[in-house]
Amino acid sequence: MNDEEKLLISSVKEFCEKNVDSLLLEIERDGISKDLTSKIAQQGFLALRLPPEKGGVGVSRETYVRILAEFALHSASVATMVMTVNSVILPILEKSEKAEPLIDLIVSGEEIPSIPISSDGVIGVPDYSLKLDGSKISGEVPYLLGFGWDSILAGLDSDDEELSFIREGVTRTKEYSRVGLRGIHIFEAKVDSAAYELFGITKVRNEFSKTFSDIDLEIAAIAIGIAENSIEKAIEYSTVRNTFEHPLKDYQPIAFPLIKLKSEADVAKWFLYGKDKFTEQEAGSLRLMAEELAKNASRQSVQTHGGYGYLEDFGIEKNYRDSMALSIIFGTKIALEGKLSRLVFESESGFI
Amino acid sequence: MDFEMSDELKKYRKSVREFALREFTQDLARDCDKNEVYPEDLRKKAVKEKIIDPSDPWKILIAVEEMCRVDPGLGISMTVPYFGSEVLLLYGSDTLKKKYLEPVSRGEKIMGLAVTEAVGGSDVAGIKTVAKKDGDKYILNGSKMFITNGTIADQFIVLARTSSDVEKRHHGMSVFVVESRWPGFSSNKLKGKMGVRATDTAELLFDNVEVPAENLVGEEGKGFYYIMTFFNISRIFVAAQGVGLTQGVLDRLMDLSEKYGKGFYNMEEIQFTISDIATRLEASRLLTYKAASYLFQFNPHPDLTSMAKAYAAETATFAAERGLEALGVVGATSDLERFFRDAKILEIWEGTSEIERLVIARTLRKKHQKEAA
Repeated sequence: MNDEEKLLISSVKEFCEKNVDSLLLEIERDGISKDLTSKIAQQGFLALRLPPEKGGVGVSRETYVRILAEFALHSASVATMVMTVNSVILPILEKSEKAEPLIDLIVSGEEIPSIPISSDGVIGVPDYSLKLDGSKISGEVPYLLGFGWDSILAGLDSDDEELSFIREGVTRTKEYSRVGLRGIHIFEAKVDSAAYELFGITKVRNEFSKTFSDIDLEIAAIAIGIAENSIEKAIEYSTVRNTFEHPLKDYQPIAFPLIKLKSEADVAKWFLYGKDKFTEQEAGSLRLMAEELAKNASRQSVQTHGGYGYLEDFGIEKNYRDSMALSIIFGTKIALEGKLSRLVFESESGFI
Repeated sequence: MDFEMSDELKKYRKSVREFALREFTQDLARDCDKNEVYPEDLRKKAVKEKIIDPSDPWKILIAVEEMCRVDPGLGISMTVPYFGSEVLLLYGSDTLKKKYLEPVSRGEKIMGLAVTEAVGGSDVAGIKTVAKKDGDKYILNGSKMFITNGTIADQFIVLARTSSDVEKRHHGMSVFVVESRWPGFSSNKLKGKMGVRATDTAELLFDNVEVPAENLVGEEGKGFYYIMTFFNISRIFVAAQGVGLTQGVLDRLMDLSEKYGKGFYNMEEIQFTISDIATRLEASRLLTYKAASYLFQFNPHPDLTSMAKAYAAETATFAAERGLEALGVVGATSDLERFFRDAKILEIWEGTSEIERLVIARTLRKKHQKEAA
């Protein structure tokens, strides 16, 4: 990393220590607040990948994923929101100049539209049914990923599947309880004769599928952040907590699993920080490994902390739930393994 | 060797399942989970319909299994009011049994077990709560942590140190029955558990609580042994929680797989996930029943009990994780996510998986040395 990148990453750390760490329980209970989103935006974190000529920070992908890992060390929910804006929403909107006013709204943290996600997680194609009704739009979206606003960015049910932005006329019909990443919301919505905006961006289902499929490195970075945080906390706890008149760290069933997990996390981190460019296969492989690592590390961290690990006040169980949610929301392991199989075998593999 | 349960137990299993399916509604399960509320009305209904028969350990085990299959939080809430009763049953005087055990058996009162302390989860011998003899009573001071039924129980089985002048750490401890209405007793509900949020968990505080000497259970100084014996019993029921929870995950995985259609089920990854969960479930169930069979015939095998507890608990976590991974967003937004959050505590309470492995290894060594001799 050059000095500028190092400075940027340390600014993320400082930002989180000042603005995120004290709000972790509130984020879990109520979601990421609009106020926090605004602060995140003010630092330019919602425009990390936008080129400077468009008002963005324009960091390289490598620096960007390291920033995500740093965010995830503090809050996986915040990291996921930053990633969803930078890696899913903006790349789609950037395809049209007409979307620039909306991009401005998003990067300034004034409005982040919800996006549809896939229910099965295998195919990765988001579900929605939105039809034009004269000059209005109506329909339903079963699973939306939201950030505190009701507006929706989704395609129309028409031949060209044009992207529409629906700001009003959206009713949340079901708020799902979530395994993890509770700072962001998953909900079902009904759109009733709503006004909409079009940008000339078409074949939106494919666009969403493609962006979901292109974020392996970003998800890997967040997973590594979760793993690192889980292991750090478990190591710290096992040095101060005594049982049977010895610190926990003196017992092999505590120390050895943590050492193994730390070794894996260190290797993953060296890989993430050590390469300048990642192939699609490398990114996918890292995600596959990192997601598993995050689950194993956070599960072991809960176990190390015992009953305290099971209480939200200690911030341990959150990692376990977040690691599971992260491995599901943007496509399941089956989808990832299918993609990696295609890359490794150089032909469609793993599916008959 | 017969792997079939008696017709009576099969009939009982069916009646418990019907009750749970009828009464454990999604709304109730969600509400208790969201608001961390103990389902007292449901407990009263279960008592009224005589769903749980505390006089037959097999029936308790089956009730735990079938109820946790439908919803682990509600299931555990329904079966935990008797928690700790076994200590009184095994070691209590007739007077104590009549006064404290019988109302619990009738469902009129709720029991709790207060052993764990903030400074020593697994390390029972490290407790700091003290009971000092003062004439015809003991004065109890100290605190307990992570106590199930902590704010709803009428009475607790409390482990306290009665002597510090001991050769070994686990000597000098005694068990008492302590009523929650007595002066000096207070409890603080612990909120924000990851799962089993329908169960009540609290910190207990004893500030000069006067405990009548007749409320000493069994002999003074033998408390550690009584509690270890109790864990040999309670761990079987945690294993049953794991069996029920895993069965519940498998039920949901099969149901939701049907919803996704043939294409989904035809994927070998899905089939293998189902096969692996089902195989581990069956192994957990057999291990649990085998350990229970010895225990319920007053011939406990601590190694088998710990194997059952650790394996069934770890299988529950395994199943919940694999189930969610297979089902993606639909699974993660269904009640399966609650099963996932509920599962992990089974590897922690009533002896962590690490403690169970120590028990297994030590018991096996003793057996081996005995055989060799």
